[in-house]
Amino acid sequence: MVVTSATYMEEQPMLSVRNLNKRYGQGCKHCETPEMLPVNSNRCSHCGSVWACIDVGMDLYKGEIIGIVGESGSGKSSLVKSLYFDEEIASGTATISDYKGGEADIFSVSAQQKRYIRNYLMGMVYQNPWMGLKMSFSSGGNIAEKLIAAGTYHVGNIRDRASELLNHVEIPISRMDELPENFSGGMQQRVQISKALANNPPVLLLDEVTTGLDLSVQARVLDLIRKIQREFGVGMIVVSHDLGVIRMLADRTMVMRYGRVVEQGLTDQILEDPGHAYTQQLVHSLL
Amino acid sequence: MKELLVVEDLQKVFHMHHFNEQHIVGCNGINFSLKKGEFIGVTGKSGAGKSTVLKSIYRTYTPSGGKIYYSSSQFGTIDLVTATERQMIAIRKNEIGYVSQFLNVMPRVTALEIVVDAIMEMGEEAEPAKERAKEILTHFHLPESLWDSFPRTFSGGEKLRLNLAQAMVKRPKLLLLDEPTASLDNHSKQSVKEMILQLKEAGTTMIGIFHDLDFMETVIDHHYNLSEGMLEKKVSI
Repeated sequence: MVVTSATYMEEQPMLSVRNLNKRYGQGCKHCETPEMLPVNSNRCSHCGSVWACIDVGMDLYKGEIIGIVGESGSGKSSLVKSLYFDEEIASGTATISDYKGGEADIFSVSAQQKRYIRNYLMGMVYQNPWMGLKMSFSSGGNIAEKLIAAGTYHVGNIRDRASELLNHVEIPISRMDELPENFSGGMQQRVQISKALANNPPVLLLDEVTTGLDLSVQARVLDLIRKIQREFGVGMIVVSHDLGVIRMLADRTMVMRYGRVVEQGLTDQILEDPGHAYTQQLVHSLL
Repeated sequence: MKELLVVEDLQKVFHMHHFNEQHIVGCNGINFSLKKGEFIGVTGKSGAGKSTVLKSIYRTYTPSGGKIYYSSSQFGTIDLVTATERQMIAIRKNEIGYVSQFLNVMPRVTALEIVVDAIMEMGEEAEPAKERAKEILTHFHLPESLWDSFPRTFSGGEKLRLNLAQAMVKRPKLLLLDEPTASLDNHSKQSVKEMILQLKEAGTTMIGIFHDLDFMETVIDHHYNLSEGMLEKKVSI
């Protein structure tokens, strides 16, 4: 049988990352490029610099969830923080299809444009709610911050949108004017999610959102993520060290170790037929 | 009739890095083809590699060698061994279904929602999807009182019926059945059989793994036996 080309339109990825490198530390002549480091480490033994992400590439499509797993220090969080411009990268490119037709490299645009991308095209949910929320502002105020940044100035409209979002994440509207400081961990996480969704971004980055929550709250947050994916068709990158979370959410999974992507594939394939020695160790440790 | 699936020299070797770098042969040199609307039954001892063949077709396992040609309505004739992940996701959503005896679903999602989700994945609107989901759950004799409860609490048979409903509601072109009757009582088996026969009438191509030979012989077209990683065709029934 001959493989025929089909009448199929090639999909355009929403977010496309190529050769992303991220270094912490000054670096020295022994670690100018990540290739100079040994394979089983990402730390330079001479100056102590760490290459947190080495040559990472990925394509995220519409409505898809990509899971990133790996041990602590493998570069998972550095990757999403780099994408959200929280960290300065060493080298690499990324494009977003909704930004200048996917032609412009988002890492090399001006600070003003980066702010635009952060406000309109991406949402980020941090592991620690204290990073994503301003605890001295009310939960409604936190959402308003994001809305104002995107050009909604009418107080009535802001309140309407904020209550709609809070309703979506099952936070009682009556608590809109309370400080998130007084909320439980799961509620703070849900406020963070609603803040991230404020401007309907096409890409959502979730960094260990369920870590540290008790199981029933974790299930609620997972429910919410699933609902968001179904209703808004958002593309998501979900970072977690919990393979159970990844199994439930992700369509495709990337396994990271020492800053490198050691294996990637369909989630069930990674979990049932892991090829890399590290992935096998990881999967065999699953409860 | 045109072949829907042609498997040529399929091999799967598992490399166990943490067990003395052992190589375990899952299946070796599997050859068979499936015409549209055909149903083949595969038997064999535990560990003979029956599930390996099915999972290789579904790409839960990455085959080590060989070709799996599948004639897809979205991509034309495609080799599932080398298809991209995105192509596999699209094929899984619309064309190939997989049913095992284990149910793997999100916690705290109700039975009805699971089926609705499966229909909506194919681009259906919420309301008609709900109607169709109710229809199929009734068809599978899943009591209405269970529709709004969580499948983790179901009995083995109920889970399996939900699993079948979830896969069959998509009307897949190719359905892979991994011991679909393993934990069912006779009554449920009968309803699975009815469902399978209906699907067959509708032109669904199927591969099934069975331990229950009596049940199998009433539904399949051809019988293959798998031993020591090799597939041999038995006399057709």
